[in-house]
Amino acid sequence: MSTALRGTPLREEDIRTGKALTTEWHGKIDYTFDAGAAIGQFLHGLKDGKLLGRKCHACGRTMIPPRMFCERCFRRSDEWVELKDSGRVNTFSVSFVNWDASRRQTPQVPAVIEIDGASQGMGILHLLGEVGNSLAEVLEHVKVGMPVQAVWKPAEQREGSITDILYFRPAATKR
Amino acid sequence: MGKVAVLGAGLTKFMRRSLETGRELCWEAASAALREADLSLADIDCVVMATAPDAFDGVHMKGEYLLDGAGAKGKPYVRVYVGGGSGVFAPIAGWYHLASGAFRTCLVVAEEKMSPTQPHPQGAFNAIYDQFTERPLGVNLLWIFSLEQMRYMHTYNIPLELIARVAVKNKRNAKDHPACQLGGEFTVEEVLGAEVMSYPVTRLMVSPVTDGAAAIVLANEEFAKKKGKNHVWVEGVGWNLDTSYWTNRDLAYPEYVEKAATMAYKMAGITKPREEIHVVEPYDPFAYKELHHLEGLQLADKGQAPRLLEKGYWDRDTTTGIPATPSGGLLGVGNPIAAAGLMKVAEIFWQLQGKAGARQIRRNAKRGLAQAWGDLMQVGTVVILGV
Amino acid sequence: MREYVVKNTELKSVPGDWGVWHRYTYGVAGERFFREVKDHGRLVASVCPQCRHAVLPPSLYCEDCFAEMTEYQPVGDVGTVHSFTVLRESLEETALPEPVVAALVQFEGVKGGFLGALKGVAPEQVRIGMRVKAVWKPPGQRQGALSDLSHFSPA
Repeated sequence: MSTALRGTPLREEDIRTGKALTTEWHGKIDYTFDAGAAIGQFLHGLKDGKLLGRKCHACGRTMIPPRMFCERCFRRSDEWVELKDSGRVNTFSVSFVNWDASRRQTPQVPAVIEIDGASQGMGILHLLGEVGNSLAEVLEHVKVGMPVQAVWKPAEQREGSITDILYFRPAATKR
Repeated sequence: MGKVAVLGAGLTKFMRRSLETGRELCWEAASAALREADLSLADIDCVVMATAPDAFDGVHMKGEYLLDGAGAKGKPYVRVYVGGGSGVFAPIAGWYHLASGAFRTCLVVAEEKMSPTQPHPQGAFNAIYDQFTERPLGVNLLWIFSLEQMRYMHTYNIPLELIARVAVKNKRNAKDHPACQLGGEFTVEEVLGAEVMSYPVTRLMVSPVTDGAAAIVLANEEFAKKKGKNHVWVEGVGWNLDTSYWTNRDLAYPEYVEKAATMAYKMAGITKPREEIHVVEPYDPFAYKELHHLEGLQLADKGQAPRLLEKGYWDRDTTTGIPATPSGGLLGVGNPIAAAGLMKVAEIFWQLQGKAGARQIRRNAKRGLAQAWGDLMQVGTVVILGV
Repeated sequence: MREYVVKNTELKSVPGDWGVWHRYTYGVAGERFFREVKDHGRLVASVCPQCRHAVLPPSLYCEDCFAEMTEYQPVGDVGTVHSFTVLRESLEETALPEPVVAALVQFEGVKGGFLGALKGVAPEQVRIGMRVKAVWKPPGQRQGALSDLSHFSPA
């Protein structure tokens, strides 16, 4: 390999001072996503305060997020199943960073939660709440495997969105 | 199937932001690879391009946009895409272009220019999440990796100190890499004490945003034999993807890497990888991922890669273990998403030829493996080279 | 497949967007091109040492033989219309206040061309092959952007 590799690094200030010219594009790219049969019904279920799964009779799995086809058996899934709104923490993290890499003062606590009533290992992504405001507090209150319970928005505020569940809290906590 | 040789490789510097456009980065890497192979563009029959989301460069149909810089004008050309796995998938696609007998030579190019994305390239990844069940939660990219790392650590009782050691090793190795963006000497304490991004991931455990490109030249046996002796051959390839329902997976173990590796080992006739693979470049965008992948590659038992790290088994100058990421990897050299994997393939190529300079491993290597990963944490791509 | 949701007014749709914007460097060749545009109000082409052709817009490398192009030559302001079209509607399908003639202009001895608005001639009078001249913004208003070349007009 030639030791002199090509490439002209620039610093942010080279751009700010106009040493390197640039041009910008602020494209407006908006979407309207049709939810489809499975997720459409799932979102309706959330509005009613329920978590819905789909069952495949061939492999016997009860799946969440629900899907109209079983990807393992490659056939249509068979029935809707109402699941519980509780589960166990499969894994979690304590995030101090926003989507645009800016810093947060208080953490978000994302988690994969295996939902009770679905097959083993069937988790969904959501947030944990009432677990503390600092890294140390969260690590004290949250353990992999611990049972958690959904906290819902009041019925009249629910829209048919995953955010109709505000977060999951430790099941042992008394309100 | 015909035999395929690697004749040359080229890289650009890996930079946080380059003056060069994506096309120019492609040309810089591709022309360097041709120079090393002692070939001209006219000798190239077909071109394969790897470049990951269009959202980074901010150019729609990025494969087409880049093709002039990749020497593909007027040639058979295809862009392959499996996210970060593309850098190792591209040589696999190049391999089957030639092994099929359809072409004699293939120029494989991988490029990424992430710096155009504002306010930060991390934001472009938000669309990786499901638009209905995940994005409304206010997601960010780092969540999926930190969630996977936490599950891995919990399942096998791995202390964070051992994970931090991967960053120390790779950043130190990268000091000797000419393309290097983030190499240096760090202590475990510094890595652990760096800014927490999304616990357990700190800033020094994650690879940077990078602009860069890599390229290799492949040739079939007949063509290669006219260009000298003692070539490096492609001995095994493998690739596999897991479900996009990532929250339904066992995050502690990368099954898709095992399946890709099994496919490659079978093709190479390898039955004892721990004895028959002499140098390895596992994909290391995060410190924990190198260990996760080494286990998926069957080079360590589940949960054991960190213990071996502690014993120096993966060190570059080991004579009894398997040197892992002698290049310095994504953590040290940089991570232009699609190009990083091809950089790892180039490293194995140079190591097997004894041309890695200050990065040359001490033990004698006849076979090496490069592996990449990407998409929604779901693809394993593996290439085995041998002399 | 039987849809569970019977009324299509109840079919869920969820809005979304991409959230990011882009800031592009011009590249090694592009930086040179736009400096010439900004500082000198002129177009330049790059020349391939092997193929001996001049290319507009200039490039770091020749896409035919892959040689590096380091030699630049100025391109005069006068060219010919290679092709054109007349735009009468905006992207949102509203009528434009005036029709816009978009012309692809080529220059003698140079491969490639330049896209620009052609003004000072009625759309019906535009012909392929007609000679046109680049009209530049005054030096103080040029920023090193495509808009520094205001438009083309009949030569």
